Amino acid sequence: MTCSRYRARILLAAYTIFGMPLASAQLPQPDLQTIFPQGAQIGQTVEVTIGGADLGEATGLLFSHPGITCAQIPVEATEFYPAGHKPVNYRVSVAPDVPPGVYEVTARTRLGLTAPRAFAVGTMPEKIHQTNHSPESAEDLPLNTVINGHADASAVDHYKLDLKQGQRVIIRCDAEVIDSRMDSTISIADSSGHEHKRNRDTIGRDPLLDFTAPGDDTYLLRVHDFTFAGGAQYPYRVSASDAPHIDFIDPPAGAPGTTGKFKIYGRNLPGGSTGEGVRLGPEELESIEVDIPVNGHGTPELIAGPVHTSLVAGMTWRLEANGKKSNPVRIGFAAAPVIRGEEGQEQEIPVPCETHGRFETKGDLDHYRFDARKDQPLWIECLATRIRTKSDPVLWIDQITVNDKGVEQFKEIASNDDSGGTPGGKTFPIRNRDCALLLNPPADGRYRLRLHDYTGRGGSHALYRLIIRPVAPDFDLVVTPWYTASDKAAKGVSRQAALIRQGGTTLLRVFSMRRNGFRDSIKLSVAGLPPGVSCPPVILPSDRDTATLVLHGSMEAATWQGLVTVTGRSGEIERTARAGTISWSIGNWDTEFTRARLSQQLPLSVSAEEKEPIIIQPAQDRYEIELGGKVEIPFKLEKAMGLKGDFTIAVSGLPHSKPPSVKLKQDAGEGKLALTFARSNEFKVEPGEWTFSLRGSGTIKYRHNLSAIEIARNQEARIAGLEKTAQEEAARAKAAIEPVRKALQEAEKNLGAASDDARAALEKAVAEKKTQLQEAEKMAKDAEEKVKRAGAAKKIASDRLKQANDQAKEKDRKHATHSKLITVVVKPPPPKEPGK
Amino acid sequence: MTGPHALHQLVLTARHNEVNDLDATALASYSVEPAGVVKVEGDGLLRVIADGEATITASYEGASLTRQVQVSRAGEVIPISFPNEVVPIFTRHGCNSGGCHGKAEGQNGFRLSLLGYEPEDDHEYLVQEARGRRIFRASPRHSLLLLKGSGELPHEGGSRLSRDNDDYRTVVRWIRQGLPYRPENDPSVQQLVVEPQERLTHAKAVQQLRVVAHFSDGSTRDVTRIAQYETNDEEMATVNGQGLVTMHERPGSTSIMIRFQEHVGVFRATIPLGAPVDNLPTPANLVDERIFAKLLTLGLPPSLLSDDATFLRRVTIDIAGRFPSLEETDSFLTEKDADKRARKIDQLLVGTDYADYFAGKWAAILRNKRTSAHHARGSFAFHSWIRDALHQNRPYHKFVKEFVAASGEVGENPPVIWYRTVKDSKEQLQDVAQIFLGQRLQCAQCHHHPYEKWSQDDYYGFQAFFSKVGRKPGTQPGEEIIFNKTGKASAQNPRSGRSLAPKPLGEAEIELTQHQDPRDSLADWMTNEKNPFFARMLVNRYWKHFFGRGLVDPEDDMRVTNPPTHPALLDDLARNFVESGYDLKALIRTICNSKTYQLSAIPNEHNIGDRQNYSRFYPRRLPAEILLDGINAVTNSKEKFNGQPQGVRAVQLPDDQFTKESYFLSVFGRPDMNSACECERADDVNLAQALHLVNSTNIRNKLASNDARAALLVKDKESNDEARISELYRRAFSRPPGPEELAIGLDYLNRKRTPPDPATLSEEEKKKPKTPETVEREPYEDLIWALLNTKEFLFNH
Repeated sequence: MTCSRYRARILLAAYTIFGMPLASAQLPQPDLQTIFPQGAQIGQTVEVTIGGADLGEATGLLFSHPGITCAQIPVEATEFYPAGHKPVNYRVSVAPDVPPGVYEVTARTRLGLTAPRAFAVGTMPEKIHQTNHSPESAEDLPLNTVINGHADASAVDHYKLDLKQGQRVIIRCDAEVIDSRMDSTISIADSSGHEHKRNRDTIGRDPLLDFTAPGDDTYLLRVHDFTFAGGAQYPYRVSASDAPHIDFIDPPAGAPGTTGKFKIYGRNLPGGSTGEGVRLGPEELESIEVDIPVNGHGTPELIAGPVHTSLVAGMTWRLEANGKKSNPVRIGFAAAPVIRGEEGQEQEIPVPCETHGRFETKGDLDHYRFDARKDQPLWIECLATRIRTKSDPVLWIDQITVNDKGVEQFKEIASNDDSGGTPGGKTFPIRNRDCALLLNPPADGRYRLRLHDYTGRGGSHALYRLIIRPVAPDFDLVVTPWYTASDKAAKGVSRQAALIRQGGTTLLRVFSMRRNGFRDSIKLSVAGLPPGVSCPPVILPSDRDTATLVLHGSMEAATWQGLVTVTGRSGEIERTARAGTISWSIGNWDTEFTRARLSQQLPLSVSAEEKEPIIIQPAQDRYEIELGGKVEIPFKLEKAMGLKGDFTIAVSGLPHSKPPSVKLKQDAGEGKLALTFARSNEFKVEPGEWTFSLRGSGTIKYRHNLSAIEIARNQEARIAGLEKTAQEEAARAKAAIEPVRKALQEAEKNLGAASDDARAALEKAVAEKKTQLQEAEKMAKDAEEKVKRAGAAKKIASDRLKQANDQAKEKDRKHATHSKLITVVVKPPPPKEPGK
Repeated sequence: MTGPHALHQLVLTARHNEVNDLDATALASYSVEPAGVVKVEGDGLLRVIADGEATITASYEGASLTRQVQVSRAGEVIPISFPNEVVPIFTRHGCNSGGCHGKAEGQNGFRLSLLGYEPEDDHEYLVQEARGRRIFRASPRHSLLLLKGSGELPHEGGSRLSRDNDDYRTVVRWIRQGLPYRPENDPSVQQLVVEPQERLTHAKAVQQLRVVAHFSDGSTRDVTRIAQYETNDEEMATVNGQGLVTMHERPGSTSIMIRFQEHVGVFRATIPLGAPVDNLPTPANLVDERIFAKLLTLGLPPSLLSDDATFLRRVTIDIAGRFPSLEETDSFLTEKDADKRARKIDQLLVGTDYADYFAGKWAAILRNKRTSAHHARGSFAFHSWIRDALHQNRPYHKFVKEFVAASGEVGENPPVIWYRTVKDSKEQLQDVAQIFLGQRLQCAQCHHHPYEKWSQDDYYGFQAFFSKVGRKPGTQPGEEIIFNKTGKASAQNPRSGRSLAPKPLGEAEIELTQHQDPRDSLADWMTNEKNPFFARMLVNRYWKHFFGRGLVDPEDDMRVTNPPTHPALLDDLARNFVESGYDLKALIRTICNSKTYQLSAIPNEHNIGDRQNYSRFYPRRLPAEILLDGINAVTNSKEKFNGQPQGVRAVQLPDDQFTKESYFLSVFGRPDMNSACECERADDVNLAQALHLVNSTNIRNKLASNDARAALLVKDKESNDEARISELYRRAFSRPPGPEELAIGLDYLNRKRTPPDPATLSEEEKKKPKTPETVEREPYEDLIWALLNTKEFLFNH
């Protein structure tokens, strides 16, 4: 433990220097970059260390499952400091009823809650790794134990496994599922150094080794990042287990409310047998058939993987054998009556239906036929990458007609590859490689569907779900904290938490993924806001798939930390947006991998601790005009910090490619911005409500964490006071010595002149005085030492004050900020009077 | 013979016994009966005199032979064919070569199509371009073309055609006839036949060739005097414009390439040494059978078999890409089992070092480049994929199929990364043809291949296999998803404008559906066991790896005109390879278990000049990575490559990046992976290398650090100087030192340790006297340094 604590301290120190967000566009905010170990065993308590930016005043951790709780680690009162707690160390307890899985944790800090970080909960005992960069320092990896480690740059971690001949272990090294930047790679060699297996990228980016020992031996497991990158943001959880492992399940979905027969393909399956020749790597997979009730409710754990994959409605299921649980497998909720796909022939399918087929071979082309009616549009969708296969499906629809010779003719009328676009751009990458289309049948009749795989190599595991159903409005929403970079050329992405400084705003970006042929607009609103925070509803127009919500905190808003929800409504359909986050900050999206994923909660924080440095205060937040009219929006600038150079105010949230803007001088305190609501090529304005904010950008003279100065100053003053008291006490104690000494001298003198009779009494008096002198001298010495200790404590306090002052020194910082939302109601022009 | 200008080359062979044939064409005397029909010149060339029939009798050393000849139309003017008769003259005299008028921009304003592959263009250039100023119809001999060509007017290319030359006269006749392009029904050449095709001859012998063109109308014509000849190895044989080959003294096989229009033919000559061959070891396998048979034919006695130490070092370097460890050396040298060499080969093939070494070899020709830092994931993944395939001994044809038709994303299917470096479909086709088929098709992009049968249709038909490679952005920056686009696969021949469907080399175009991936069809064709190129290319590549020279060399230029030195062996190895299920390790086993591979590099009095018959092992400088790793092993240093864990050896490095970063690797020729050719790896020996080994801080640090070998040796107080010297020799050369070497070593150590005369010390040396440890250590550093600079260390021998 000593070793890991030491390491944690080093890491924390490193973060305070390097952990600042790479893109300096927004104000500093706390970021929980690491928590180590990043998991715990069910029913156990573990001590964790957190690392990241601005976590020095953290007070606690908040987990997404109520059964996971955290306790501060108390620090006892000392001579100069009252009792407190360690800001970066906590005890985390996992209740026995928490299901295994990955959950999330955020840290409570001075400014608010951080963005979430994954936290695993498992059934196996857990350990923390030691330094094991050489085969000689290899560490034992006991069977069915998780070791929490992290990859170091240009290094390989080594573990030892004692295995008997024929003993089979499933070795995993989870990294991606716990938000690690590590591209985990593992290999196993025998004691002679001969490598038997190597693996990576089998479970998403994470590896899996299915190893059967060829002989009794101590085997060496090597764990590293694939390109030998490393650091605290490269944690992993490695284990060798004899628990069952599921590779895939067939069919991939079942009808909710039914109990279906499913075939599990995997390893170490209870009663499982090989023989079907199904392989995902060198080993043949076993299979068993099981009955699984499909509940239709989903599961609480975090669904790892890209956003689109995690959005697929379904539940996780685990196989249990010999008291051990397998890894989770996803079972989708079928969207229509289920049909089994048949191989090798064109298949007739009813509409609506969900067909479970597979790409049997590389570049397989499957054919289906169905009937459709001209007035009944159909939504046709294939799920393959979203159910974690390596296929890239593409589909075509052919209309079938019969010519006068009775021969069938096929005319291609629609096709799709990679539906969905990339609404999050490079900041929040979402991409759907599956295909979907809305079919408007040109006539009643027969149609053929061709489904092809562009990239996979085919096989039993290359399953897909093909859904054909009538058009019905539906959509998914994903919401994530957002910021707009002040520098257009910036390519960095920072992990965001929604944080409102008093008087300021925070942005939430919403992405819509419309389904089942739905095309309408969606009205977005935020629920769960505390008093003093507001956000009017925003319309996500039918032709767009993203919108930005601006949450505004009043000048009186009190400090608050909590969870909020964003909902979207269209007609009768209401959907709660799933929260999203990115796993780590990056400096340049052209060269670094940004990973976006779903999150279990959307934290919002309001901080009265700091004020928004620059507040754009529009005179009104609602205007009404006629179509073609012009609105002039006066606004004030309230500056809690100074500006350097011009400050540009521009409209944000309307579809202009060059938003109307106005440039203010450094010392300007107000301005106005005119906006015309007339139809133009880039602003096709219609009557209705238009919502936008004013975005200001420029350079501010920023001062970081001013309250830290106050705290440090108070601390220093308090300790200075203690030091002064100690000095006074020391002076008093010192002064008290002389009278005692004199009294002793007097007593000794008396004793020298005393008669024998009086001698006994006087000797006693001398002894007493001697004792008194010793005591007085000791008191003086103790008091002097206390003065020294106080001096040292004061030096520390002074250093901290200096540090706080240094950190709060005025620095130029590029900054962008938004006003609260402004709504302009555009009315249709009055009908022209006849004759005019 | 038809027409007054017909020529016919006689070739006369004198057979003394079963194997030794002698060209007697120029030695024989000829008579014609009746006279006046043809005349025979001294070099066996027949010229027409008049119509009629005659009998030609050739006499040589008492033997005689007769042949009939018939002459017709001797008095007629036979219409001349520009493509068949005039253009070959330009080719033969080098006028249309790439260095002269044949280059794209021509020479001094006059342009001809390269090697006459576009005769229509040539006709236009000559007759119409520059307002016809190159031809003077009224007085053909005053045509600029002939005045320049004969050197009568200043001509940078000098005098190419003299006035009394047949070719000169042909051009004059063509001008006289009015510059025709070709007569009606003029046939085209279908095939070229060279006689003889092969000959076992002897040093300084000559051989007259006869070249016959077979035409589309079934007719044949002797084109010996208008074909073009080139030798493959001037040190073995040269050839003149009349098709007369002169052998030189070096024994072995060589070939002469003959070109006529776009057709090529080959004459192969084998020149024996003729020494007694009575020391052939018992053949171990088919390699030895073929190699030894030829040594017998050549009369070229092989060197002795190498000793165990040499074999161990050689085979460990060649298979595992490293030196044998001290333990391996000691155990191998003491083992007595008869089959220990075979067992060592098996052991080396099981180890991951084999996969590491060969993965580097393949990564280089598959151009595993990292052009940006964020490309590392891709290049590491590709290297790892190759390494795993080799470690698991994935059958070669499967490996190639997965590579050639790779689709998907790098995380799922690493070989798609090849398409990141090799972006253009032309580069793709060229690389695949060169790497896996040994066909260098680059030339055929712009014109018919000058040394092969490949036309532009062959080139673009092959390009069509890659015409549907689609790309989408991948998950991570710098990565792409490769997929097969839907639609018809085709590529356009820019000259003809014709759109070609995928066309395997030498075969017809193939029809595919719009969903089929043409790369799958290509892979199927390539890996079909009947494919004439695929297996032969691989066995030749691996042969070169182990012998330093391909049976065809360069190993990936397997054209008709570059024939193998041992055709039957190449065929046998290829057949064996296919029959083994394309088992690469089995192939290596076959090669390394052969006695041929295990021959000593020390020549005998006969085979020192041998460069191609494998009568001895040809020593070669160690590749950069093995040398660096070897130096580290001997000096007990560890290299730290940027971003790699400590202890990763040079031979394990995944991509090109490290060549740039390591001076050692770059100066010793580790490739930058810019080319599909293994020739990018420099194997030369140069001054920069020598200076680096003798005089660099890098090497000095390896020798002198506190945990380096010298320091370790002297720390081991249990050991004595003899044992230490022996250890060094076993580490560096895999053998113990000889008595003389030991004595020299001991003498040096003792001399260096003797305290110097204080009078000779500099002031500084006096101030800072050497510590006892330094006095002990420095002589060892010197000794190791000396060993590192020996040829025995630097070469695989």
